[in-house]
Amino acid sequence: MSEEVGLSTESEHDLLQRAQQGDRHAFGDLVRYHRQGVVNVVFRLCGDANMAEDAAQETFIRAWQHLPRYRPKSAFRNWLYRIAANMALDELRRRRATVDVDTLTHLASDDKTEAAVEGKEQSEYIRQATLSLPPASRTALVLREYEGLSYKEIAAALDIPIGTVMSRLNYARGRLKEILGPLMEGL
Amino acid sequence: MSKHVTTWLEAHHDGELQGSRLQRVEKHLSQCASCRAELESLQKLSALLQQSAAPKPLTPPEQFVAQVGLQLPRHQKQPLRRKVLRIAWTMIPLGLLGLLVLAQTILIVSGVILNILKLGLGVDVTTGLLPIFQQRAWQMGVSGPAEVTLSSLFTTILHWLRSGGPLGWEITLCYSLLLVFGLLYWSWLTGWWVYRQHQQRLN
Repeated sequence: MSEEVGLSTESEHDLLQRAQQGDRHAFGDLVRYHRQGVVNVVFRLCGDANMAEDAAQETFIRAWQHLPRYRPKSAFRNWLYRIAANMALDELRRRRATVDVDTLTHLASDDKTEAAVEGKEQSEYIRQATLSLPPASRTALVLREYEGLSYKEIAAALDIPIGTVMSRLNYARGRLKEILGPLMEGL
Repeated sequence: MSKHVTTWLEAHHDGELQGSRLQRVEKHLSQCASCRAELESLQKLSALLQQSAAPKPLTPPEQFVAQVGLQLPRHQKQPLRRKVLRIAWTMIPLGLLGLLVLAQTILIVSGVILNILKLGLGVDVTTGLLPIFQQRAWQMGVSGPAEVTLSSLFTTILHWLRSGGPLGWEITLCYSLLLVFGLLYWSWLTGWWVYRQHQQRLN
């Protein structure tokens, strides 16, 4: 989760207004508050910590450039996540990072693997399974499961109808249940 | 037992259901083992996903903020409306200069024409106008003394201008115009300076 819990709506609104007028210090405060959330979203979407930090920095730079166009119809966090998601997916497209889903499914059903995927390896395995999802479903899943956004907030962040959010989440969870089924049994 | 609520299980798991629908789903769950199992699998999946560790920050927060700050472009992309306003604002001095040139040209041309008329090379237009104003003043005199006073004042000004005023009317008008345009330009310059100061303070 992000660090913005300490920032009240009023002070964020004030910081935003100042940043929209070109105040770099106010924008710095916003970066400080939303850094972790943005890094997390990008990391969950692209699966690489280095890439996540670079893309998170790019996200904030792009947000700064387009800040005068931001209208507080939706929360600033959602607006940032939208930029972050686009940035991460662009970066992935550039690097053509793909995960072989068949291999993952095969690994999960393998008895030897079940014992091996513990602790750090299990965490890595889950990360790879998430990365194997199509970008659109993965984005909805990350925003819901890791950032705790409501359907309405996800819909606003990704500019899609709530029905589409639900169907993307349904697809993502269905696929993950297939891939991570053996691990789920152990819970 | 009521119909399965599979469609609404995820929304229930995500805390998105309210009111009667929530009650219906909860009632069904209390009776249906299959739907309860489905809900449990969703809960297990969420728990499993949470086991995937978040990235440890490679860059300390303050360093991250500083790095972003260093890379921020000097200017933000302005919305179209603000861009148009900015261009219009920078065009004001050019507009003022254009107006001044136009006014001066009119003055010079009218001065030349009047001087030609004074030399007797044509009909004096202002002399031609005077009887009209005097006649109008007489007509308005019937309706009230206020109009007579206004007409008289206008006639006096016209006579004063024709006689040349204290400096000559062309010169008076010319200096007045320069004064007005000068004031407008300095007001614009002051506004621009205040805006720049404000921007520098923000950065």
